[in-house]
Amino acid sequence: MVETTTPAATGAAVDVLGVTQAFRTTAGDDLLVLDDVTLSARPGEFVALVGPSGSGKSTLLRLLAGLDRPLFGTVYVDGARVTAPDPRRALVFQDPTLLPWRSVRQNVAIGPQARGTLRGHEDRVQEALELVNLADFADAWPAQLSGGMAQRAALARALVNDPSLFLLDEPLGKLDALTRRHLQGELLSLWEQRGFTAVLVTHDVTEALVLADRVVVFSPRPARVREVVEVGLPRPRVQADPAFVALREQILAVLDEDGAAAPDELEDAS
Amino acid sequence: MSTTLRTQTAAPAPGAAAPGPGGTAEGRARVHAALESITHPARVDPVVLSLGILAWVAFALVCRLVPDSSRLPLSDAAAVQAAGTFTQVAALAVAAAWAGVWALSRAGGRVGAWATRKAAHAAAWVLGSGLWLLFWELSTAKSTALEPPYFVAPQEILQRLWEDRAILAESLGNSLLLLAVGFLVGLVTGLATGVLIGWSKVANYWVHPILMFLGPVPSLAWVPVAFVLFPTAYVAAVFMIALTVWFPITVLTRAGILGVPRSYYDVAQTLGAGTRFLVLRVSLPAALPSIFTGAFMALGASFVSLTVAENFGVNAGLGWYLNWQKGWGDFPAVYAGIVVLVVVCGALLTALLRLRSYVLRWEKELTRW
Repeated sequence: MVETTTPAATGAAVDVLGVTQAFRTTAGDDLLVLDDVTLSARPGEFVALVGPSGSGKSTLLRLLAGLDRPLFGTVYVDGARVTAPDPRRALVFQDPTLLPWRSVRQNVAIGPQARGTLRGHEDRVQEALELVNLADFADAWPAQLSGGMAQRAALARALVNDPSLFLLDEPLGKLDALTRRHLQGELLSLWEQRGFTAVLVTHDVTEALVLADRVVVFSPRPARVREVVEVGLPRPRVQADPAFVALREQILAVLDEDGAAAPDELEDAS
Repeated sequence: MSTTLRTQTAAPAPGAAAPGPGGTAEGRARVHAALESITHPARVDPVVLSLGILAWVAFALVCRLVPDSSRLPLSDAAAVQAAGTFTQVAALAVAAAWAGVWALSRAGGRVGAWATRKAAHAAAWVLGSGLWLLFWELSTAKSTALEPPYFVAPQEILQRLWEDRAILAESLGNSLLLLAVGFLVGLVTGLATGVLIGWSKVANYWVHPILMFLGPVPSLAWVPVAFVLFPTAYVAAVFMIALTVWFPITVLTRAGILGVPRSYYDVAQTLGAGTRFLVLRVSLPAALPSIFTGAFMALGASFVSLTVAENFGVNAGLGWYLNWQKGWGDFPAVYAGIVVLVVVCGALLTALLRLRSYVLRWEKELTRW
């Protein structure tokens, strides 16, 4: 257990044991995506997964969320085998995927409403909206929001369930550099306040190093764990810090070695 | 073009941002004036609108002053005479109403703005409809260039609408009731079938081929069978209308549900949604744009089925009225029935489109923050 001074939920322990996942393509070929992946996250830890695009990071996140089941191997969260989605494990996508016919407030209320606990808990919805500074836009339609605001609404929607595990699938990938910087800071402070375990998938090595305790580097498909880097720098992290630069170069060197990393994605750093 | 403010204050200190036009009342007034000049507010075209009002007045005068053609059959002439005063008063009332709106548009405030919008939009239609009425009146009652009994003067239709008001109202009531029952049955079964085959592969396997072959059969083809198989003609008519509504609603509900992005389900599921929530609160709302397209098609098709059913077996309603009056060769009455149908079908379609734009208001391009 990680000692936190906040009253919020405690993070979940994550254990991925020998997970292999494959798909059948429409052409009928077998496509191996994850090849015997084993990794774990301590309660309250912030883990980032980086790797070339198409290397199966998102697939792993879907397995952790319980949206898919692995072909071989097992995914455990807090010692229990993951077989189905659970509101304690929140997933935020690259696209905010707000339901467009619901106002921002109604989108944030989906979790409590779906579980029949909305009545009497409207204040939790409001609280989540305030947490991401969207209280003034609670009655707007998703189509009216900017990209950053929509992604904040998606964060609030996940937070309202008070998750112990936060799965982030490139949540800032489509935002402009300035908005991304702001949201990285917000994400970090949410994590510090709430104490959840976070697993972040990203293309952006700098983002991984700014946010995570540990960075897991994946190989090109089929993905294996290529390297695990302990960041160990105090927060807030300074990108010009020589130690930060050294870690960044180290990870990029691994990705370059694999030769599949598209340069434009690596230069994406904010 | 100068963008500086005409103020007498000293120039801003070097390095400080120059005050924009938003800073002062004068600047905001300039912004307002600039916007006013590029947003093209509605303007009433005085020539078109005055000609339009004159055309309606001319129509009333022609009705009054030009004698009816001597070749006009006696019964038609009597009808024209009977509705003559009413027609003239009504035409003058239309002219006066638009003159009034025009006068109001010169007033300020919200009423003035409303009147300006209405008058600017309608001016061409006022002129067009006035000219059409003049042509109609002159070519029928006043000259019989378009020959009776197939072509009738506007007064004759008005006279028949008034004379047959009781039976027309009753027919209208019967038609609306049958349409409502049939449409509702078709809508509910269509939604249910669409959701079922959109969600269940087994149901889709069995139902989709049936849908694709039974659905497109025109309702007229069911007439010989439907009125024999069903216990009463009314139930048969409901079946025929419901079937024509069921088909487009089912097809487009299914298509809408199959088009729902998988990520919507993923999100809802990770937030704790069960199947019931996924069907009722994700699938159906996401499919609504498509369902409304289906409803639009279904409404049009249901009018066809309604009139067909009323002509065969169900001896009531507007469809029956049309056929009955045609049997007597009473063309003014046929036109009167058509006028009622035109108004009712148009009103129902407008109502559906209004409902659609309200329910789908989230789809509109709204101001972005």
